Amino acid sequence: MHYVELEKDLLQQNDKLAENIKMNMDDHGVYVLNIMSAPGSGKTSLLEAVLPELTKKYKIGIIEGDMQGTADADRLSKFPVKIYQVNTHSICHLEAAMLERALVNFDLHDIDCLIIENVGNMVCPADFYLGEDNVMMLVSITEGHDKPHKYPVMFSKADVIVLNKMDLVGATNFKKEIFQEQVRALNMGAEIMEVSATEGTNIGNVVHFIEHGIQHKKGHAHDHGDGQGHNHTHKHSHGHGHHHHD
Amino acid sequence: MNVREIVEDAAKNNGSSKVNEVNIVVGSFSSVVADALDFAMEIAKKGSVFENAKINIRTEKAMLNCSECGKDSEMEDYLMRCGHCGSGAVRVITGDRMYVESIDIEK
Repeated sequence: MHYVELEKDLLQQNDKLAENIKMNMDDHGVYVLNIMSAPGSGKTSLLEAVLPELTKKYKIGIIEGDMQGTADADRLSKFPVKIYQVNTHSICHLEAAMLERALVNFDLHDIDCLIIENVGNMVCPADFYLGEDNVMMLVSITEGHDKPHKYPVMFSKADVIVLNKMDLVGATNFKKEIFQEQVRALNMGAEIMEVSATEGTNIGNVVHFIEHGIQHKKGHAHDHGDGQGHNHTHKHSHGHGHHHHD
Repeated sequence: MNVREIVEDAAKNNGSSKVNEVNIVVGSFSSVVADALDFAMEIAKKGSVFENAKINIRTEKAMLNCSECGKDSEMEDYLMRCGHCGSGAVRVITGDRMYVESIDIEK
């Protein structure tokens, strides 16, 4: 009998990969937003609502995570964005390794922002760090006001919570006060934005949040190098200043 | 990396081909269900170096550290609130992970 101490974390490998992705994104000044929600909360509708404004100023890349099919990617193909669909098959979340494989399809010099639409699921995606700068969690009022208490991990990790389908609030028994109270018990910092993606209500707030993230990332794009001087010659102008070098 | 890989690697690195015991820790604020893991391990261990090992799954309490009063407290009822001063400025320090703590091998 021989006892071996291990302390081997199951997510260690995922986190290490995600850290590498984060460094790569930092070096390229690409802002990464990971959007999580239950199925049917309106992630794709929210993207349809924010993309007309965002694509006027920025180059956006989108990774669509779904168990199967390309329905979401098809819906977004009308926008001037680069979309890559990841089909996870039996897996209920995206992992850093899947993202790493997907990223070879993007020219990181040519995008300002990468939006990851995670697999619709309120549990597992919260455990897998993808190297994102921010987690946006989307909840629709038709899901009920008791969700923060039922799915605490995801709510505790969100940087911003978007409450969608507010146009339907009169038809439900959704109690905003209870929802807010439950969110605050888990997460002091995240702003709650009340929107309707299909009606376009308060979509400007979401656009502003993403824009702020992009600008902030650009401001920090030269703060650290990647050890290869030729890579950071020009990242000064916002939005369209990216030239292709290499 | 999965439990099977971790155990197989560790046994190999320690020059053993038989594992008697595998100790796994599951945090109470992780999204892992101990019963489901227990069931899955019965299948995962087939044909491995720990085929006949006893699988022990221990639940780890979720602990919070408060940035206001600096103290640690146990998370209660999944609330992100300091047990000492009641502040919400807390972060999870343990109990949000699952890991293979140790193995007992034949040498």
